[in-house]
Amino acid sequence: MEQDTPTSISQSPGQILRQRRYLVGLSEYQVALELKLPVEVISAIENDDYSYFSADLYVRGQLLNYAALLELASDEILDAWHQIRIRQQWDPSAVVSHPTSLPQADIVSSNWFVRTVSYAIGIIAFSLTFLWWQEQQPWPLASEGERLMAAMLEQDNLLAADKLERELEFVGLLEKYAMVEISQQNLAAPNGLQGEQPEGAALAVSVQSTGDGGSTRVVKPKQLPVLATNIRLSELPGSVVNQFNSMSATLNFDEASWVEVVDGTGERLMYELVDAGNKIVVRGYPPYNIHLGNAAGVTVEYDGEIFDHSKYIRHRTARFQLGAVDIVGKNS
Amino acid sequence: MLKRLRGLFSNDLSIDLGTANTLIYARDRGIVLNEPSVVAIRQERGSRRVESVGAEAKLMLGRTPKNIVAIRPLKDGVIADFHVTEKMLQHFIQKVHEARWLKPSPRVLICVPYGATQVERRAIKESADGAGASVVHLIEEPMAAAMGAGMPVGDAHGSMVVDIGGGTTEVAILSLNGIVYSGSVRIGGDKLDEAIVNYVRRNYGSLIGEATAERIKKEIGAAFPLKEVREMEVRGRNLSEGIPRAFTLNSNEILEAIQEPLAGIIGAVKVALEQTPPELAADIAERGMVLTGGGALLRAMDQLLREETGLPVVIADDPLTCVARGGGRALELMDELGSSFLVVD
Repeated sequence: MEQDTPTSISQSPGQILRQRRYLVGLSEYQVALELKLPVEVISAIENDDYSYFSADLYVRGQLLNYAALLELASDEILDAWHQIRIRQQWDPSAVVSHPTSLPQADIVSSNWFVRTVSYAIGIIAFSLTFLWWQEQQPWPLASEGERLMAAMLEQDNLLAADKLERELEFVGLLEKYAMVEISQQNLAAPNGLQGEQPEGAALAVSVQSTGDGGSTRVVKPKQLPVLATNIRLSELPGSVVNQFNSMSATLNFDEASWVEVVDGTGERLMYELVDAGNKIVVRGYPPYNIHLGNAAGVTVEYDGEIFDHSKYIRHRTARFQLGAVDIVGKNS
Repeated sequence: MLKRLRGLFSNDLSIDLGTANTLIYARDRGIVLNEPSVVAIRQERGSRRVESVGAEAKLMLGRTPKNIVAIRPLKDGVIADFHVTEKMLQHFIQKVHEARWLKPSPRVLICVPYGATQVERRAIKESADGAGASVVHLIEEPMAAAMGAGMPVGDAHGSMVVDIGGGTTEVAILSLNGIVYSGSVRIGGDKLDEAIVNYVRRNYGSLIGEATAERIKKEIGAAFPLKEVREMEVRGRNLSEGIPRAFTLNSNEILEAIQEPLAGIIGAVKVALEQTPPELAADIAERGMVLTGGGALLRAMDQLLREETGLPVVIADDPLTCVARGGGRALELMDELGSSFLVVD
């Protein structure tokens, strides 16, 4: 009873149903009576005009009902209907001929495609503009340290720049450029123990003549980083230098005394006899371990304040530490 | 708080907690579970333990030893056993998330019969909460069924849906994303099975189980006289002799057996049509009604309603899953339009 010809798939559902109705010998009116639909709707279905139905659900249901009435295979009708739907989706003329039969989902799908393409174009345009702008506009420098870093980058000193970037804090800078500077008011050269200075300090001593009767000795730690060889203290920002100076210890010798200064890294910076009337400024890695031979004859200043070391005096000598708590904060 | 966190790693679920079957629709994954709403409980020394749930438990229906009882925790579309329903939901939620190492805590939308009372709704909500859901929303079954079927419920035109489930039949007139009228009768597939059991006992003097009755309904049941008459051999216990006997039933007998519940369903549909505002009634006369739910699969059910109401009737595509799919669609709409959309308390 069921029609199952190979050509039937290429036919529209309306054509299949009409042919079958003729074969069965039913009129449109009889079909309408069975399906409880108006006769015009049966004609419309046979002409593949589904504008009467407001949703696919009703079209599909009535096609199946009609097929069941004519004892047709439901798959055959559904396949033919799906082909019509696909054609409507891609053929604009099909849409124009039955505008109301176009399922809502198709309209949404089309809009979705246009929207997606628009978004993609927008994103690409924005990305390209951003990349162009980034190349045109270098990022502004935020601080003195970063400016210094940029200068170093220009000198292709990438290693140094990387280290400096990580050590932009003052403490880091201080550790990089720590040194001991001994200023002497008089011409008198360091005597006695100078020749017996430990190897590390002796290697780092340099003497610069000031030409006005005084002399300044600059003592750098022996493990001075390579980076620091390219940097002078005078090149550092003023604020950094001020803080750097505040970390120094000053020894005023009212009487002659031998003195030993060991810094926080364990390096012995001074080990010598100093005559009365001299003033020594010690700059280096805090904390400083200081040992004075004639402690009562020496006045000690740290961080701009007088440090009372009298309580450490034992048998004329005194052994004490400066800047033990916090090298940036107050001394111990 | 922890539930909400776990919810981020769980799928949103729409659950059709039906009397006969429970279906779960996971967002972006479709229907992920379709199992009978049956739980087998083992009773030992006063304690109760879940033996099996779903299809496995259904096989035990009527075949269990003394210490195991296979029960259906939902009756007439609502919870009959709160504790067992909670355990069943917990099992199903875990099952659809079985690949996850984290205990699932999904956002859940549960479909409830329109006629469910506030107490019954609260029971469903709390059982889902107890099963681990992070947030529980409820939606009325007719609305979910219509959305799942693909009806244009948002249009300013009347649409009519008849959802014949296992425990209830819901009839609703919908327009502009709302329910204009809805009626619910506690007649569904279960009542049809029961009617078949009673018919066989009355006419053949034999007792058959619910599972056999359901099989008869599916294989030879019809709601309207058809040209083709189907037959089926059935075995049941003869009540007078006490021994199993085989006999043959045909589709006309089944049609006779289920007349009473069918009349109840038709009555509900007619009442809905009577209550429909005239403008919407005109729309429905034009478009007809849509059948969803397992009852729509009963042969010639659409034909019966067509003849009885004189209106066009269509069966939704895959009517068994319409409610769950509609719930899933409602979850998506809730994200777009707010959580109060379509959802009831």
